Amino acid sequence: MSKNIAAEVTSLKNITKIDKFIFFAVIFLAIFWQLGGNAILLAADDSVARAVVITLKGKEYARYNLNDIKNEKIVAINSDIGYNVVKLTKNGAQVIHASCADQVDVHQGEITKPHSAIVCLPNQLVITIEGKSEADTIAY
Amino acid sequence: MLTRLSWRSNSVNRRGGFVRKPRVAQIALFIASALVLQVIDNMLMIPIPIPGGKLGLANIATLIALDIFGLPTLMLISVVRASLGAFLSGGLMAVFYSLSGAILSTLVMWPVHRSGVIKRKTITKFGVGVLGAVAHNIGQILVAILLLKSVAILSYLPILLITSAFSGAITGWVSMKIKINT
Repeated sequence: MSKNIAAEVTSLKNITKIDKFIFFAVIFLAIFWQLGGNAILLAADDSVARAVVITLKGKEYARYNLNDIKNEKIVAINSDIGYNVVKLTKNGAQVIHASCADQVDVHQGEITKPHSAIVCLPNQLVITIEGKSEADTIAY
Repeated sequence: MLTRLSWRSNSVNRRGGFVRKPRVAQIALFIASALVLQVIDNMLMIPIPIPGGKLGLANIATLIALDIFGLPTLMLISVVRASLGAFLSGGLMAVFYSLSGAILSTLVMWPVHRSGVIKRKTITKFGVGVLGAVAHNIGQILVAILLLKSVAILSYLPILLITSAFSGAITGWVSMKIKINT
């Protein structure tokens, strides 16, 4: 009896082709989404002026032009939910301290590319980098 | 994992048809076990913080309940479990995230599982679990977009999809191993 149970546990033969297809389709979709997103970011990388936009609870909280930042600038964002400390350099932005439990935003590190973002869901904070894309440059 | 749960109920047919008159005790048992799994899930610490880095163990209970109940009862189980679980772990915001994920994943898992039951050897709990986990994450992302009024969260979607594929596969596989005598 116990032998049968062990055989049952270790076998994956019940899984059908459609199951495997779904599993790998989700993974490939994720990889293509990531690669496609990176391609868009690279295309937008020839930006003229970049700004960091901090959005708190769906409203724009602050906007910093990265060209104005000499060395680095520390910004503390306090709300009734919690706090985040953002370090701005001339290259990009990074969350260095946060009150949230998961610390996903702190571990994400620095974002430098236009349209990339740091999101702190518990504190409802979004940090995005804006860059002037090619179309904007032509319109200048 | 190999627990053979059993109770007396003659209202499940052999083809996997669901109970017409679900019993309150059965529903309560599923909600309670799902809640326990959700609390364990919250306590499990994953060393690297990744967005959505949770196993979604509570989904095991919903996956097993798919064999027994119809869509309204499943919805009741997942909604009650999601709201109670969110109150236990987080706050009011966690309720919205948890509810949207639970409702969307139930709406996806039920028809997929029914089609797998009607046409044998097409799709098993493995695939249903993966699709349910993906639907759960997409539901949460939709709420995050509405709350933050920003689509920036979509940049986390690839890593969420990969984690949900693996966590859904694990929960789906575990729920396949649990047999229920009805």
